[in-house]
Amino acid sequence: MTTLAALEVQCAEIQYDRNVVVHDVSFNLHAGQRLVIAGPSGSGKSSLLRAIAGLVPLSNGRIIMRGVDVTHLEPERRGAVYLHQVPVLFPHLDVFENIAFPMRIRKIATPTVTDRVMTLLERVRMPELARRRVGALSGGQRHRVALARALAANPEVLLLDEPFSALDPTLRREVRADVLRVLDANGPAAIFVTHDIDEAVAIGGRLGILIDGRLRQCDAAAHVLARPSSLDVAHLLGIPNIIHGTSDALGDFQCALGRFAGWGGAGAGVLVARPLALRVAEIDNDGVHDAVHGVVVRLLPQVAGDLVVVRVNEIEVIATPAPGMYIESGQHVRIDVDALSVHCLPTA
Amino acid sequence: MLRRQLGLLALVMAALAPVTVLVVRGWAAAWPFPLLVPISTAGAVLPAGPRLANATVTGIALALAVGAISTPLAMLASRALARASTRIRTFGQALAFLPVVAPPVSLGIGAALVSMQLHVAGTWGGVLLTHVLPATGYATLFLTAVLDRYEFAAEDAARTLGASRIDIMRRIAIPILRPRIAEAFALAALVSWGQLALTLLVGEGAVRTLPVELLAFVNSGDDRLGALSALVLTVPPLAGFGLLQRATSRVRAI
Repeated sequence: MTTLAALEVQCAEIQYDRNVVVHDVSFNLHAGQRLVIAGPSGSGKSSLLRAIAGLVPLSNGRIIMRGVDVTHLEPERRGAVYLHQVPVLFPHLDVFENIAFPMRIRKIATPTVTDRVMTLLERVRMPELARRRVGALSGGQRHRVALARALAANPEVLLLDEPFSALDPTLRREVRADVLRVLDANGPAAIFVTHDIDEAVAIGGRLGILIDGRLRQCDAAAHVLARPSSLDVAHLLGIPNIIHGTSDALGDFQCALGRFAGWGGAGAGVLVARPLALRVAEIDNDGVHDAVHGVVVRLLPQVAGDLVVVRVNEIEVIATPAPGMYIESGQHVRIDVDALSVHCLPTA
Repeated sequence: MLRRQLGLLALVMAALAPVTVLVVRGWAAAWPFPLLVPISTAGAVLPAGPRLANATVTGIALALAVGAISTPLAMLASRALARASTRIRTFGQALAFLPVVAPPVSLGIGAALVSMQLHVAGTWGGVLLTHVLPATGYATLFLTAVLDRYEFAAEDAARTLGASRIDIMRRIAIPILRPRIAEAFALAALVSWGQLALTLLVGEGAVRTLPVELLAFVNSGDDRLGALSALVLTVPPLAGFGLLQRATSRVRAI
């Protein structure tokens, strides 16, 4: 037996003043699943989210929630709660009443409301702030209250529009961890929108890449990172090594990093390789004959581990040093390419 | 220091001088030119009391009714303008400005002609409808400026949380904007309270508000009752704004 998707977006198109900003976007999402839609500014991410919420009309396509076509339903009848980039709390209500709001409008009995609000406050670790004015809350606290209020509405789908971008990096990590913890426990389907790929990967779940209003790729985040569907997607993902080459008569791909069998493409193309796929090692004379050699240009210190810029056959690549290896500029090194982790794409 | 004190004194005198003259003239029986002080304090104004009282009650009732009609109209209009495209917004604001910038006499002549066609000339209802025009314009312009700072995102958030449009007005928009709505109400009521040309032209003398009586007293040469009427005319607006200031200062709002 198949369960109904919490959300199905079918061929969604959005227009503003006859300009199409979202073209033919389709995906679905089940309860408890997370989808991160990443894309550059102006790619239509927020418009898509607002259309799912019902705040912007679709010019074409359908939105289905739990099997019900909600395309033409008012936002309040959809079951999709939209969380703004900067949390929008109701300034005339305190924390408790903000969270109670969705239940008050549903005329739920006060004892039930009180229990539920206190449970949600516990979940977002703010039980002592129930009667605090929202104007007196910090940025992180405002996010937590907005999240608790959204959960109080018991939504099918939670729509989070750049939810952490207004926070400083430390607070961002903390609030993100809290949001993901709460969502795991509660289980509505959730769509995050972000322009920050690192954040998209940190959120986990599926990753959708929206460029120029088109969903170019939508798959598990690890798969998207390893196998971007196009050069645009690879650029957006910030993959630093995009190496031009050509296919030969056998259909193998040939570039500065060697020959890669079984590409199957024809003509010009690029090899897309994350630094993790290129391992810098010391040259040994017993090595394979067709090993790729290069010269270290400089080190790139990183929080998660240093990277190395290596010049290979007139091009520079960014690679990962072997564990414990001492590296200095000008050093001759070998680059081992993990053929399973690189990806060839046509340039056209 | 002395210059600043003199400046302050000049400001206070400029503000109080007209009121002081009205107080003195209303208290004195006569104040013939060129005397600097009134010659007598005797003389009763009691016979004119009921006329003043009736006019005051009529004016207050009219002002409250105008406020009650104009404020919701202005609220709807300003909300529509605040979320409209720039072109529609400019057009809408120009429309709201029209009864404000049009000379009251011009507006009054037009309104009088329409009210005669509708057979409401000389009636309380006709005057009420005519007062609503400029009052709604003023209140719309005021609320449009207020809504420029209003966060409509709060309403969007409320809608996706399950609130209907009525819930949003009742639980979000009105509570957040309550002090500004009260000010818009006061503004609309004030426009009606001080209205002379429209009341005269449409009311045809049958609807007698305080400005109409004031004009009648002055025209008949009774400066004392004119001064008293003018004083009474200033009291409700001052009292109303004092109360409003006190009430709104306790409420957090945009």
